[in-house]
Amino acid sequence: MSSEVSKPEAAVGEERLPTNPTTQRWTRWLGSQRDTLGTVVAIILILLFWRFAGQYLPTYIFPTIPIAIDTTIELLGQHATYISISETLVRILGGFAVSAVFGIAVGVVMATSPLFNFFARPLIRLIMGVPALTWVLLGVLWFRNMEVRVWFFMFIITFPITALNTYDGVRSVSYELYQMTKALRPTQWGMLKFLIIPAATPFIFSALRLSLSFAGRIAVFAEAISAGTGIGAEMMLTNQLFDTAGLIAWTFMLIVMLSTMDGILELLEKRWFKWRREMKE
Amino acid sequence: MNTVVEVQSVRKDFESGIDGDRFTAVKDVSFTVAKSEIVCICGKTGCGKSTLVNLMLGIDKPTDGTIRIDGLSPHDDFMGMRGKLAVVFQTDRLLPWRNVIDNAAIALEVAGVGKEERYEAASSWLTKVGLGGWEQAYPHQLSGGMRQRTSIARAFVTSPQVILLDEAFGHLDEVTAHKLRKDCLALIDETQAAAIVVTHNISEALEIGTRILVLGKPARVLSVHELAEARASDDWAIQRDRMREEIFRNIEIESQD
Repeated sequence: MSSEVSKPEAAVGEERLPTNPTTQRWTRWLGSQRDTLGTVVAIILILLFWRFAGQYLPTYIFPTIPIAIDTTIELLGQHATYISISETLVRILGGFAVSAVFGIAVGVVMATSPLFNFFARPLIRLIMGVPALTWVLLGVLWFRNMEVRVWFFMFIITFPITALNTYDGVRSVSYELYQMTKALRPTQWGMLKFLIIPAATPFIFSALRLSLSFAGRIAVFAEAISAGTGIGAEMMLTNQLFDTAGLIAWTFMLIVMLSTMDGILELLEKRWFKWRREMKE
Repeated sequence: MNTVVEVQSVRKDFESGIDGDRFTAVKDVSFTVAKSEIVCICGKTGCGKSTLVNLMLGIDKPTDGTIRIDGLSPHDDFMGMRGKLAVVFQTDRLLPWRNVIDNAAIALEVAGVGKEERYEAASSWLTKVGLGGWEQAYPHQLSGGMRQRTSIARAFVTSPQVILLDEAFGHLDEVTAHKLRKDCLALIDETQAAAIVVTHNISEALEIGTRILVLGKPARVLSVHELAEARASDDWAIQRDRMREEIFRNIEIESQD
């Protein structure tokens, strides 16, 4: 018998109905820019509201746009501003990294060990049920070191999110793929490497993006309450001085920082998960 | 005869999830498969064919009886069987995050073969199944037939001694299934592997098998039909129709009991 084989069948989408190329190009461009257009419209609406409010309210309640911009430029010209930003950045990234590693490890063990899951799951649910303020107050009582306090808050708030999402991701691995991979006879580590971790990665990545956003907010909150340095502490200071323009300037810098980090994660997500079939309207 | 697969008095019981009772999925199955032989296992849906596949793959352990593949137990010598036994399932079961070549090469990667060597082997098998030039595509970019071709390449890449086809063409349209079946048989012939084809399609079994085992429910051998000699005879068409009727009757009578 010959091993000559027949021509394979057509790939998905190889044959499509003809459409007007110009319409197709515009539709595609609008589709790709939809998020950007939405953001631009939202910013314009906020600026309009700001201009209106700044005209009729006192500066210490609602400063005008030019005052807020001047304050931001002034702050950006000071060396101390960059020290505060870098302190907050290091705290966010450090706390995020520790909680991510611990959360992923706990999530994988929970999904693969029923005994561990039996104990860990209710405990994590309990941790998530405790109000953030309670953790902040307990942290102040338990830890004298300011850095430890901030890291503790970020860890205790964000690690359950990563752990539970990782658990869900691992549990969502289909039996069919499990059976196929098992038939290849991998080691336990191989099973994790070839199937479990890649299959759970989209879940883990969503959790990491959510955790990072929480980590940013928690870090600033913790700095405001229990640390003397960082963006949170600077914001607290502006509040005590009724410096609303300064508060807006620091908030703006925080938003830029968190958006940049989220943007980097989004880019990585697009790059790593290009295998996922995009939902097309 | 060079026996590669030996299944002796295999039984598999499961505990029912509903009331804790035990039920038997495989009652008493015995057969052997020699090198280059294609043994088709036919039976109704739910008769325990897939359980038998899991037992032969070593994923499940028989409650009773023994399975030997090249002298090893697929369950007890689990790691020792690496690369000797391959399977093509009904659905392609490709890993969606891996491209075609990485999917085809995964068995070699699991076995620790270096990147260059495994890519070379996978590429050669992909060309054989007609997917040369599609190495970098992802599964969602391929048609159903192309995905199944990739899974065939994945099965053959380790040059296994035994290949299990579990309803491998069952979910494809008739034309694609026919083409794919023909190509797969050519590869089995080329590699001289022992093949076990699990199917509920009697016509398919009569077309490709050298022997057919008809299973009842719970799985036990109802009848054995030797095809190699019959196929060589002049009245093959008559014999084939008679066998089809006989197999059909066996299964029908069994399901009435």
